[in-house]
Amino acid sequence: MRIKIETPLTLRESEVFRYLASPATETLAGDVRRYGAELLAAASPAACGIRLRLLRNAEGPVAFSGCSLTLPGADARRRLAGCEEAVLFAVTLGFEVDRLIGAAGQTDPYRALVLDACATEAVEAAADEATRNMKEAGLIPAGFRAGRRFSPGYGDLPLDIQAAFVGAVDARRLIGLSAGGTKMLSPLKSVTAVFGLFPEGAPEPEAEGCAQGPGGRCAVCNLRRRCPYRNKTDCE
Amino acid sequence: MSFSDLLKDNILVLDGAMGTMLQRAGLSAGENPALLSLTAPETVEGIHAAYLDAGSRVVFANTFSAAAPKLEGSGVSVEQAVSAAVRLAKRAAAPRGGFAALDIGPIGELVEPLGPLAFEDAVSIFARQIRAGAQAGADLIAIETMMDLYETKAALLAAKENCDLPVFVAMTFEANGRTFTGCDVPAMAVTLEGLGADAIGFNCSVGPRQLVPLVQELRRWTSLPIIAKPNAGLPNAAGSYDLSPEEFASGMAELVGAGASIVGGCCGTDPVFIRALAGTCGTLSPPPVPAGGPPCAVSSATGALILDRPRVIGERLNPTGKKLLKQALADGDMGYLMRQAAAQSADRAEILDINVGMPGIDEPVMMARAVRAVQSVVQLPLQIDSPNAGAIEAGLRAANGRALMNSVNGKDAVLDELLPIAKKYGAVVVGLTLDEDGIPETVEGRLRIAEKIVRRAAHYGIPARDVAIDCLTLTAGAGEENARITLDAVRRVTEELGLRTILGVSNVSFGLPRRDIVNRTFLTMALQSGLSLAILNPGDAGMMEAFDAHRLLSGRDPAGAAFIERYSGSAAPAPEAKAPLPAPECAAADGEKGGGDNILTAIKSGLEGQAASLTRELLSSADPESIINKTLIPILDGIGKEYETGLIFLPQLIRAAQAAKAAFDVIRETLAKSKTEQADRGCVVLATVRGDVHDIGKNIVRAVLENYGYRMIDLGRDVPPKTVVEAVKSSGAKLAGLSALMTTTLPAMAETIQLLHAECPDCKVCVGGAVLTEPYARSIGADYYAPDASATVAAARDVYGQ
Repeated sequence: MRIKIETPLTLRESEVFRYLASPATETLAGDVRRYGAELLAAASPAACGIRLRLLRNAEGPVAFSGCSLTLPGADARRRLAGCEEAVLFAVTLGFEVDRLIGAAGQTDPYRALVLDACATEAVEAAADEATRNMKEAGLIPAGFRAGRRFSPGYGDLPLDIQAAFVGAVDARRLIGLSAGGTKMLSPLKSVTAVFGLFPEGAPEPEAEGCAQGPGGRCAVCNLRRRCPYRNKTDCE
Repeated sequence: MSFSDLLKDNILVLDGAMGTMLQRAGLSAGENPALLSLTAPETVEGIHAAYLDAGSRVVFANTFSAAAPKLEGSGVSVEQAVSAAVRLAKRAAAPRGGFAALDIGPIGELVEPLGPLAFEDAVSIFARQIRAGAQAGADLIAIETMMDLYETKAALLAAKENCDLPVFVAMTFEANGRTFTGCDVPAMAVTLEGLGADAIGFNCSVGPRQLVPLVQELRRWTSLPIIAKPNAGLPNAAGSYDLSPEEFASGMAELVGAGASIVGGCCGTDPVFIRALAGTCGTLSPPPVPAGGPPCAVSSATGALILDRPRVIGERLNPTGKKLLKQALADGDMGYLMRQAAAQSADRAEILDINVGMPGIDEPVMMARAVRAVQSVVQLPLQIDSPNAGAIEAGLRAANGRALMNSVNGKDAVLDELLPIAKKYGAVVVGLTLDEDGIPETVEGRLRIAEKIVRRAAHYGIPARDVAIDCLTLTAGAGEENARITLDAVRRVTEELGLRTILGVSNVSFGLPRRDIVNRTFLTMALQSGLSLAILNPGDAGMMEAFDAHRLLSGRDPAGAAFIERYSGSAAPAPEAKAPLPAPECAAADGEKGGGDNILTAIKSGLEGQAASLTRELLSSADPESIINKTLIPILDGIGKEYETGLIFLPQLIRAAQAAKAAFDVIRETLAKSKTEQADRGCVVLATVRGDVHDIGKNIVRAVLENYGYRMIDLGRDVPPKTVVEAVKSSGAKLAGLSALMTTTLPAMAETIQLLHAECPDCKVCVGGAVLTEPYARSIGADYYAPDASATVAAARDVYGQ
């Protein structure tokens, strides 16, 4: 089903600077604001998702009732441990954003770089917004909350499942999102993600590794050993 | 009754959803429904029968998901799935007086440039299903649920090239009046009618009510029968659709009133819905087609341009007399073409002429590449320009939307070779008034050829409204009557023959001083004589000013609003083609010492204008080579070092590189004027590998290396290994840079490296992309691994020396 996304989205500038791998110098901050506004004007954020019941198989890939998609690997299992249901969803900013960044890439690579970083943050903002609207849409039932989301390509959840994932949420029909032979999402500025449903008040299973990574996301990131953003004194 | 007769006099009732019915029959979600024609044939046939009994006249065979990529791994071939499904549909239809349509759905991944699939591969995939369907006896082809105009073109061409059956085409529009890829109703209508669809319209996505404005709009843009096959309303929270069969049927009646004559249902509908639909609409008369016909227009992928007033065609993508463009074509540097196209678009060109003719290149192949590259960065209709029939065909085939064909002329051989091609691809035809005897010296002579061209076009099914006559601009300097004859001919072709006209304006002033005065005056006179399409350089401000003034003075600029906005002192200045949005020019940018009074500061602060003007100053006291080697390169090296040591970061690096480029451009201009050959430091070929379209990093590398004086050939994105090898061979480059951003495209990178090392042993390979690591780069045979742009400079220096 489609999930509402209220526009305008708000970009967290600190995230944009992180993607730009730069501190917020004065000129750059001005450009981020300006190109960010241009990016948001070109975006048509859209989201869709489904709620699925997990099958009770103790081993092997996580499987769902009424859906042929499975989630291989240990990270998916760990993230969804203790959940009876999970939500799979997809978000996109639409093709106009791809065109905007692609055209800029030829005439003004700096602008393309900034637009690209803004777009990456915009997708996350759109995903957050979609998640906030899922209760109203009935995807997150009363008494439950969304766990931390993770996507194909994180940890040991392979990218291979992308086409099946996109099919499972009917993303092509609902929001115009497809995944091709190389598993690249079209439009580019899109994400697919899954999260477990936890009862309100219940804690999420402890993520292995650094508890001090930003939002605990380090544990499933393959770059955690060489990421310049981790606090090196406290982490492994 | 034959199928075409059926279309003429009746409302044609299609069927409803197949997926919904299969789910109800308990058949598995997740498996390809096309397989059910083999595993549950009675069920499938039963669904067809139910729809026919409810009033459908056409049923869509269970082939929506029968494209080869979707059947991969199932053990069932396209031919098996299609023939089984069509047989079932025919078996149900025959005793009930119905027809069986071969249902063609989207392939599942998008065609370039939005996705990784090559256009011709898409055509082949569709062709296979269509051949199988025609062989199995389908009565028509129904292409549906398409959201991408380019993929739709591939399907329609495949149908036209592989069978003689009627073709219906329905695209899926969202509530905002566009498909997900941005195609609007006019672009769809203009393109698909030109390509020979027999009926066009809409299916899926929305309910009947939401389709009403779209059908009304389509009715204004096409004279073909209109298809409307919406969902059973809009989805509600429970995931089902919100209309009852009666509400649906009454909505469909409204659509018939709006202009639809081919009606059915999509998701959420079933035989009950179709029975209601047939009851309500089956006896309605098809609405009349508006008199006069749709507007004559060309289109891009996303919008149409009506040819009802003078339009500007940008002429700059033509290698004649353009050294840099010739070099770019010889190298396969698509990036250069894309930048030229973007500049013309920013200069308000409304159509772009594309000509790639020069010795030593494969013109048809290069034309197709150029068309695709240009259309990946600008959304403008194109004019395919070549004397070579193969190149014209390749360009028209590759173009998304509806293009112009430049050109035919009065020669019989040319007319008979090119007009069928124009007809096949729906092109607007440009006809030059010359023939086997050359260019007529009289106005009468040119009119006679114009008439011949129109007559022959009609013979091939191309109406006069789709022909534009070029009365030929001869050099005024070579004959004082030349301009007058052309202008008189334009007037008479417009008034007596009622045809559109087109001219390449700049030729009139060849050999004369102050060409700019002559050109813009000639343009004004031609517009006043009725000129419809002006081929010119939109970067020439004088020409565009004349164009804008003429529009104002001929009453086509209501209240003079456009002219006033563009030219009044307080309004935004006329756009500069080359400069991007300038960075705020604050003196104390980013902690640097203020003032901008030296070139180092200007470059570091990203101040392009200042960098350029300071370079001009330097040129008054030093020669270009020493400025490059003693000032600019050391500045770049210093910036590179600051980046490596973390004093500045990527955005500042790239901004500085762009400011440095402004400085280098000044030097290049000076060298070009003095006709000095600027030796380049070496050639580097860049590409994002096949299957990948991420290119931000590659573009940054291009900008940085260019400043260091390397000749850059940017092949673009999604580049096959063979193309990289060809570019390296033809340019003699000793360094190739490959970029990939996904683990899934690393195999393509490895393949490209392997091929390069085998066929171009003198060329080294540098790779980059966030997904790479040094050990992996070595393991696939890369000679250099570049974790960032500045490391590529080190690689280039290593290959080409300091």
